[in-house]
Amino acid sequence: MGIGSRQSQRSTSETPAGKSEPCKPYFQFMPGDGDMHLKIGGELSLSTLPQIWPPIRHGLRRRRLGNLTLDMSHVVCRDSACLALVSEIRRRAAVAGGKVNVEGVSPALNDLLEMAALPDAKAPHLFPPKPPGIVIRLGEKVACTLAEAKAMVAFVGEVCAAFVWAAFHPRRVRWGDLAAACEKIGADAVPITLLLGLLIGVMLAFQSAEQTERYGVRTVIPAVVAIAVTRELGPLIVALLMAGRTGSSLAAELGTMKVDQELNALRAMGLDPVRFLTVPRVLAALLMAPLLCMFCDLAAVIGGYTVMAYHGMNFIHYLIQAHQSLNWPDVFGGVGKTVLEGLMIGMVGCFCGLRTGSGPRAAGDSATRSVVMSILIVVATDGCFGVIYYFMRI
Amino acid sequence: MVDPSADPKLADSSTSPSTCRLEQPEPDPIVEVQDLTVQYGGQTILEGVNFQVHPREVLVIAGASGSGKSTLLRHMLGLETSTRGKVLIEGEDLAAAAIDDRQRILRRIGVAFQSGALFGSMTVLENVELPLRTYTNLSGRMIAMVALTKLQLVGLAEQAQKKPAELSGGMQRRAGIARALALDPAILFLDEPSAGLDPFTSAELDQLILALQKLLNMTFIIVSHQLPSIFAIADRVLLLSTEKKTIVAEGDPTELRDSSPDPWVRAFFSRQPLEHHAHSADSSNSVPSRNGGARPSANHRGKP
Repeated sequence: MGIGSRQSQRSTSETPAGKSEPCKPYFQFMPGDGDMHLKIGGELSLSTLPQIWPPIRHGLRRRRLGNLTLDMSHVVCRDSACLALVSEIRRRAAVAGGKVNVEGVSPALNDLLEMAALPDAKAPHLFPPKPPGIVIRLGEKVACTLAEAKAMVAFVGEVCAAFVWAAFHPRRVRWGDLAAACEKIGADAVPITLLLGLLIGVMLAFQSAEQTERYGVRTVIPAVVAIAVTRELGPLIVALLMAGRTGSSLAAELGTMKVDQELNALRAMGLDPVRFLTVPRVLAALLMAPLLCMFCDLAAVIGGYTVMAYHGMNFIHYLIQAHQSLNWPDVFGGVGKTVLEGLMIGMVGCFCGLRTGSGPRAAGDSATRSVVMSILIVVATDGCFGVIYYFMRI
Repeated sequence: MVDPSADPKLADSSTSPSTCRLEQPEPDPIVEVQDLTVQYGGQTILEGVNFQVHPREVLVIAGASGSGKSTLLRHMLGLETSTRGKVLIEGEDLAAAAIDDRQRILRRIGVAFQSGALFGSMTVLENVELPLRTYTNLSGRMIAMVALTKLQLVGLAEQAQKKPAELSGGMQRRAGIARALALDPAILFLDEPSAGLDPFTSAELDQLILALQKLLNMTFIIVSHQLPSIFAIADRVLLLSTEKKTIVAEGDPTELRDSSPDPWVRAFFSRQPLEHHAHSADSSNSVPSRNGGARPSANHRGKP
């Protein structure tokens, strides 16, 4: 066990015949008048603690422990390891229903021992609380989801009311914030939108080229690209891009403001965060989504031409083909979808941001939740529009 | 680290064998700041700061807001590179040390940041356990008990299984101090430890610092402008000036308050409004400015 004893007489077998290593920790169990007596000596530190801790614990476990007198008069504390050892001995004694009386310590060490004495000697906080069962966790999850849904509905109502208020008080709307949000959500996203649209157009034309070649109808490719992109792919790509880019950004921005108590400051000044912060941002998302969609559609059509140029089609001929295949309802149906999707992405981003919890990870969690919710809502909305357009024969 | 003979109370009561007694602490400074100059973007924050910290000393770095206290602390910890000068920890330059040496030096240092800087994904107990798991070979149970004891020293044992986000700001700061204490460092750096704490907790923290200094021979370097704490615990205070960008006063806080020749220093430690101090100042015709310089007094300028 590595415990050197400097005691000439040993009352228990826990202290083996010691070599004369002067500062090694040692201990002795000695039966007293009814109470157990434990004597500890030597140099105690974090590095020497492992030499003495396990055998003392083993010794305490073996004995029917009642009250214990702990003699520390021969201990030299090199660091606070002795505090932990005393706490452990007290914990063992408390679990067995006994108490520990510490003797032989200097006033300074006694003060420190008093400060380190655990409020409950059994140290229940040493162990993590038992996690709740699966049924309870499931119930909590369902309750949490329902509460979230209820809050979302309430938030939608608040935003609608804020828009009505903004319509009647246009001079109190923060138009500067709206411009900044439009730049961030719209203008800053144009390059990535154009790139995505271009690549989508290229891929679509390539895929179509191989299939149409089998039937000798390669000339339909401009129509395929134009219709697919304007009706479905353009709006969907832009909505997904906005869900990832704008939704997370709004949630993180408002979430950080909440963590930094800026929202509380607004409320304390009598300003409604929904009117003050949400209206410009949601309005910007609503306005920028169709514009980005049009940029995406245009880039995709041009991307499709790069493939057709490879196959020898004239650019004017390509444009005429694409134009003839499109109807206004195709274009407006696609762009119109993005208005609603932009509105929803903006609202979800702001909702998640305003419901941010506390702590350093809260803003990041809100951003993640916003992206997931936005993508789910975008895909669901897109599906609904597909059904509606089918029955409306658009 | 402990030398019972160095503490009369310990020496009186200790019956420990003489073989267990340790050598006297070396008189060399444990921390030495040499000609430290810090500039950010051409703006000078600190200019030619020189001082030493001796073992078992409680040194408080005080000064007006923006005087560079926290900047000085970051440079002492080697977290930032200075424009000129260096900081020696136990004779070694932390900023210039190789990675292995740096680890060894950092093992001897504990730092408690102003915000607590706890890891949000861990419980409070796990936060305090982290240095012990990294640097010691103690078993899991020992580590947990050592960490819990450290938390109890700052009055947080009952919050051990909570996440930092569930604690108040003051509790987070105390948990940060417990984590800094985990390895019983030779030098403990505390950034505004008692700011925002209630008077009882603040006084308990002062007691803890004194007890650790007395029993475990820790050296404390504390950034603070909490005057009650400074008077309670500081062996020596360094006062930084925003205008002069360096140390303008150094010594025992009570002596500085009562007999400093600089009216601004006396005003700082007397916690008096500057104008009031100007009227009561008898040794100077100048009014101390908020930043540690001096401007002509109202009387001197002929105002009623």
